[in-house]
Amino acid sequence: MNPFVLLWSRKRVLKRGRLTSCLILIALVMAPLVCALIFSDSMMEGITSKYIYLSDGHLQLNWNGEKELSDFKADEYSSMLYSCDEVTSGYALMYSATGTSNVMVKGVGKSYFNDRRMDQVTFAVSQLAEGSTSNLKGISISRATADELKVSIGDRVALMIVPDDVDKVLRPVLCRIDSIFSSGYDQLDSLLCFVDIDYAKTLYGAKESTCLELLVTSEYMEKLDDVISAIGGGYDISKWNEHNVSVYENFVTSRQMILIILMLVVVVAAFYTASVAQQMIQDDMQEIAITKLIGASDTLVRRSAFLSVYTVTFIGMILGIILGLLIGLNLGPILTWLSSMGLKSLSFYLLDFDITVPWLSILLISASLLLISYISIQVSLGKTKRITPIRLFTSM
Amino acid sequence: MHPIELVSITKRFKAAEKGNDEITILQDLNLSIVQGQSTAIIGKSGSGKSTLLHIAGGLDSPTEGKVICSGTDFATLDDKRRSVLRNRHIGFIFQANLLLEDFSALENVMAPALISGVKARECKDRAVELLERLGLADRMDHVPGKLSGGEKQRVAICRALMNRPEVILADEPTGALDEENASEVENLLLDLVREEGRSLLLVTHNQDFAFKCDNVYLLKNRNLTLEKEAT
Repeated sequence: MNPFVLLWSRKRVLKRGRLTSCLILIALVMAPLVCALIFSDSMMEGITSKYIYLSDGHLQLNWNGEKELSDFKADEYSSMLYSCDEVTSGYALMYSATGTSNVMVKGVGKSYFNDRRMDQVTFAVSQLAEGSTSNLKGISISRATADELKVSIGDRVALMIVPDDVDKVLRPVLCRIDSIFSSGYDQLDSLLCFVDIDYAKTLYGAKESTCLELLVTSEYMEKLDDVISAIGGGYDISKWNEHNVSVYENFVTSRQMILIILMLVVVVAAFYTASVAQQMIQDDMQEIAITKLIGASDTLVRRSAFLSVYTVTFIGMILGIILGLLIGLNLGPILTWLSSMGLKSLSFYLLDFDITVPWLSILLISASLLLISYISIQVSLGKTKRITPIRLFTSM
Repeated sequence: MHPIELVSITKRFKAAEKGNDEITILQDLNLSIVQGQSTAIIGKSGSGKSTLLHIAGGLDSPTEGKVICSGTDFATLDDKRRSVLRNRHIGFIFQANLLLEDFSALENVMAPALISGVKARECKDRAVELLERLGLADRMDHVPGKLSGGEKQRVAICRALMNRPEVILADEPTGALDEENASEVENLLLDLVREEGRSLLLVTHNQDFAFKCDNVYLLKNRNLTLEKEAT
């Protein structure tokens, strides 16, 4: 690099207020973009995890008339499967004295809430309920449902069971709330209600109501098709994303839309750098003419001006990414604080999720910013050709 | 070989107010700058002295004729090669000192060398030496805004000499200075040019300054008349 180019650029970066404002603007554009990417990706992954661990499992094995579910030997696939639980489920209307709610009743065994599932959910259990000798069956409902029905632990609710056979009639059963759970994602929580599997089988007797929910080991999370192949035929096997298809398709679409919108913001920011370059040329017309007078070629002048603006763009981008990461990595506490400050709309979102940094998307956006800035600055610097020493003398 | 040779130079400008009429400033003018000698051009304001200097430095093009700098016709060069020629073979000094405002005195002097690709640490000694010779040792880190008119002009002289060019082109270098400063700068410029063995083409309306040079020409009626010749 020519030493004059370095010196000239350094002077511009350090002394031109306009370049400082460009740096701040790029940083202020990049920070929310990175933050938005972290927020959307982490929340979508978090919500997906909630659905997988509390609603559908990674894989579901259903009876299809060939093999009985009891014939499935999970131990044979111990390298692939983290857990295998029998689940009986059906739908019901839940009544309290003050309200109603639609729920999916999931009958599960004691082993269902293993470590991974317990990472996704917290339970509030009453000591009284644990030692209760009441004849009523105990159920676990979500905090969202409890709030909606205005009930708490120890209260009674009625379940109007929707029969799995058209010949059966709707029948109400009375239950006692033994525990209240919360996964942090109210939209899913409000759909779920857990009961003991044996009791669930008395409510939903059909074979089709029972399935095996499989959780795979970390190694096979991205290789579900391999697990399906290993298990082979004899069952209907479905993956987590085949349940609640619209939810997952919405996630994918939302993610793509967010990325497109963020890219458009980046394009605008990149074009701003070109206008900064143009303005810099306008401001430095005399200095450019002097540099040409003492022997700088137009290429050298363009290189110097380009390096000034591009350096500022690059530094602004890096600062923006760092700032965005700092905010993004602390999103959980920030969102919880905002929610506690009265932003009720936040409760529709998942507030408690593991932060994932979408490096690829950040890289894509950064590369776009640098590329578009590069092109637009180069185009705008074409004007330096018109600045000649003699033109400046004649206008002086 | 002459550092700069003007051959049959004619320069016409379009008259600003008279349609397509042209005004002839210089007519079939010839001038050869002799290596190691100083040459002054005097003349009234508007006689075309500055135009002649701009043409000699490759900043402006003649309507007819050619300018040969170190054996190369300026007209045959593209922007890059013309810039290189200007950077290596010509030093400029103007009435308005035309220093880079954000650069310190030292950086301004080093600029021509940096442009030609010499690293800062390699050209710093030469720049410091020049500034010290012109009494600016304690002003090196000052930006032009913090220097007096005379000091700025001395920095401009140092910058012009930095790359050891064959010829210095100076347009009214003391025109904006008071009498005392002007006299000091005149002597410094002439002494330094002689010590360094450079050629000087000086354009001025100051006859005293002009006649300190080896050769003096009067620019009148679009052409040059020899007034004084080196012995």
